[in-house]
Order: sequence, then structure tokens, then C-alpha cells
Amino acid sequence: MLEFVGVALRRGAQPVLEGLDFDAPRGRITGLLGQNRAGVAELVALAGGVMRPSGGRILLEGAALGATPMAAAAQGVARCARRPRGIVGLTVMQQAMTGGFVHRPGFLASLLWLPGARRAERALAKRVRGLLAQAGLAAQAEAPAVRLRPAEAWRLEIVRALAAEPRLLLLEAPSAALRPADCAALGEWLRGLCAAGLTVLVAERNMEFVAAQCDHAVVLHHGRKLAEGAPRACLDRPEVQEALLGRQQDADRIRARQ
Amino acid sequence: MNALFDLWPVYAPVLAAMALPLALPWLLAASGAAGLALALGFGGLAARLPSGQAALASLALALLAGALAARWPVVTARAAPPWVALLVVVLAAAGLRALLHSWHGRAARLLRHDAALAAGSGVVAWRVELIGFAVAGIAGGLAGGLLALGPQGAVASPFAALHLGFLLAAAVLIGGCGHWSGAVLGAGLVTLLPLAVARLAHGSEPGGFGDLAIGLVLLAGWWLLPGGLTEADAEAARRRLLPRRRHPARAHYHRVDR
Repeated sequence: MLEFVGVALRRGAQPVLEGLDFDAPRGRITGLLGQNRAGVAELVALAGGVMRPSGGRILLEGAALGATPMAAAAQGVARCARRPRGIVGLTVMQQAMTGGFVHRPGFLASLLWLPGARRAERALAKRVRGLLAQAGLAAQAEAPAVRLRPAEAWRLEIVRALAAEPRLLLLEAPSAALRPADCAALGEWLRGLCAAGLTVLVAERNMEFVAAQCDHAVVLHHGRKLAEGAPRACLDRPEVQEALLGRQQDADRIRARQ
Repeated sequence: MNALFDLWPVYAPVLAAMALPLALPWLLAASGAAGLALALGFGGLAARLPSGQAALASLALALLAGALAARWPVVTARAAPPWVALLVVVLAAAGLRALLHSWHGRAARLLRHDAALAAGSGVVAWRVELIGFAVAGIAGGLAGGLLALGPQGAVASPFAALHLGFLLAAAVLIGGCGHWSGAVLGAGLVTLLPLAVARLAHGSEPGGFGDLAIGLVLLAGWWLLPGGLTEADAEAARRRLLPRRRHPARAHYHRVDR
């Protein structure tokens, strides 16, 4: 689905990503793991069209990914906010509808409220209402979006992204603001979406979340791929544990000091 | 600074309205069209500038427009009946409301909330900003036409433009950007505050103390309610949802002390 072929990224003379090859399979949740400076955030930015690779190719279902966020969105890539929060002055329903920009009618048609614009607006509202019901937010549809709790704000952000009917959904650190029960519920909902054909790429630091909720994992270390495959198998590898948790001898030394 | 920018197209159509011997509806249409043309011309350039430079450019244009208006003879030759102004206001409000609830309004709010997120949703920032400039230009042009046809005529002083710009910017910032209620609240406060100061001074001329009071309220607002009065509720909700947490390092020291 989303294929990285020999992707490299440089910031000045500093390499951020080097020779990265992996494929996020269609209809699966792929977890990206890595510590600081592993290049995970940059990878998500590349997948969202926010950055351009210095080398290699990024393909979305065989076609080159757009070089701007707008082009990537038009190709079916939706990116969620890193720290979702309500937009002041909008209801939950209105905020969810901000995601449907890709399928907008013409400006004049919209301003003059022509039949085509009315139809598009009704279709978007219907789609969003269905998504809010799936997310368990139907009761809060007319409530101010700023009043949502963090778990609900994450669900709203995903609904907002899904309003664009994307093929690929990009999430960054969803577990950071969620309780374990909310993480499990989010994972279950994402799996349901994947069963309907959506592909999800999640950048995470929470190994438990990736192990429990993802179907496929890619571990990055200093801009290179360290491991790829089933999450549990990846996380059990000693070099992965060392990259993500630190070296055993360092842990022993710290413990001895205490 | 947008409020300051929105001021200057008012003056150009005032000049146009004075120069053209047209019937009332055509005069207003010409004012709106002149405002639109000027706003598009300036907006096309300003939308590509960083916000600080755009604000300075707005300031320069406000001065320029004020200086031009000051050289023109004061207009009091014709006066429109009051219902014309009311009709224009109602039509403009209906148009703005339709725009606010269309995809463009949602895109503008998303852009203001988070520009990166808006780009990831397919929103082309410069296009949305240009439409914003165009709408502000039409509204400013109509307001300029009405001002020229009002009983008091045009305000012919370069400093009056700056002063009015300051009052507009203060009203929007105190009330809150992006809300009807914010603009109304802010305008009410900015109008009533100098009157209250004059009353406190036992009806004597406040001598600039009104502006001083507005400036102080503006500073207090920036400190206590950076989003404006209309965001007070949202700010309170956000504080309720995010309880104060003890800093992790401090929690650790407490544990060690025990």
C-alpha cells in the first residue's frame, strides 16, 4: 500500500533517514517505533507529504506520493494532529466536517448555495454523522468541541480525518494522552476500520500499544530500519530492546548507584 | 492586524464614491467592486508575506489610504436614507453567515487553528486567505460607500485612519477573533469604555484617557485571556479538563525524602 523504496532524508549535511525500505500492508495497522532521533516523526512527515525525501521513492499503491500535504491529501492520505484539541467556536459535528475539504464543491456554488453544493454538504454531514456514531460521539455531536476529554478528542480527530474518505491514515503517538482502556478501545476501532480497507500507520513510543494493537511493526534506530515484522517478534529481539530501552549493563550500573 | 488591513479598503471606495456620479445601487456596487479589486491586489502580495511583514505592510497602507483621503474634499453632497445602510448590513451579514458555514468558513477556522493540519486536510492556505481578503475588501468597500453617503461624510485625516484602525484591532482582540460575538462584544466595550471614563471624570473631556483605558484592557486581555472574551468559556473548560499535575521530578524527590 505505502511503500518506501531506498528513502533517504538529510537535514543539511546530517542524515536523518538512510536507505529505508519497507511496505505498510493494505488493511493493516503498521506501528513505527523508535526513540529520539530515530527518524520516526520525519517518516510520518514524509508519508504525509510535509517533507520531500532526499533520495529514494515513496509510493502509494504504486503511484508516486504527492510532494505537498495538499497533493498527498488529494491522493487519499489523511494525517491526524499530534495533540488533538477542539477548535474554539465549533461543535463536534462542525469540527468533524472540517476534514471533508478534499470533496468540496466550487466556491461560488457554495456561496450561492446551489443544488450541487447543497448535495455535497448533505452527503458530508451524513457521512460524518455515521462516523461520529461509530466513534461513540453521536450524543456529543452538537456539544462544543473544546469540552471533549482527551480520549474523545482523539476519536473526533480520527473522525475528522476519515471525513476525507482516505486510503491511508497517519497517527502520531495516540497512546500518549490515553489511559490503557482507551488505548484498547481505540485499537479495536482502528482494526474495524482496517477491516473495511483502511491502512493505518501509527508512530508510537509505547511498545505495549504497538504489541497489542498493531499487525505489523517497523523499528527505526538512528535513521535506519532495525527490525520489521510481527510486533511481538520484533520487540523480543535483543537489539530492538537495547535500541528502545537502553543497554542492560547501563541499567545494572544505574541500579548499582542507587 | 487584519482588522487594521480591513480598514484601508474603506477609504479607496470612499474616494470612488465621491468621484462617480452614479445612482445609489450602482454607487454601492462600484464601492464593493473597488474594495474587492484593491483587496485582491494587496491580498495577492500580502498572503505570501510572513505575518509580521504583512502587518507592517497593512500599517503602511492604512497610513497611505488615510493620507490620500485627507487630500480629498469632504463628502456631504449626497446622503442615503438610513434603511439603505440597514439593508446592506443585513445582506452582508447573510452573505458572511453563508460563507462561514460553507467549506470555506470551515477551512478558514481549521487554518487559524492549525496551519499544518489544514494543509494535511488539503486546504490551500493562500487561496483561503485570498478569499478572506476578497470578502473583507467587498465588506470594506460597501462600508466605504455608506460612509461617503452618510450624513457626516468621510473622515478626512491620516491619523483618523490609524486611530480607527487601532480601535478596530482592539475591539477584535479584546472580544476574540473568529466570532461574531467576539466582534460585537469587543466593539461594545471599545465604544462604552471611553464614555465610562468620561462619566468618571464628571462629564469633562477625557483627553485621551479613553484610549489609555482601552490600551490597558487590551494588555490585561492578552495576559489573562489571550483568546479574547469569547474564549473565556473554552479556556475555563480546558483548565477543568487538564488538572494540575505535580512535576514528575518533584514527585520523585518527595518519594526519596520519605
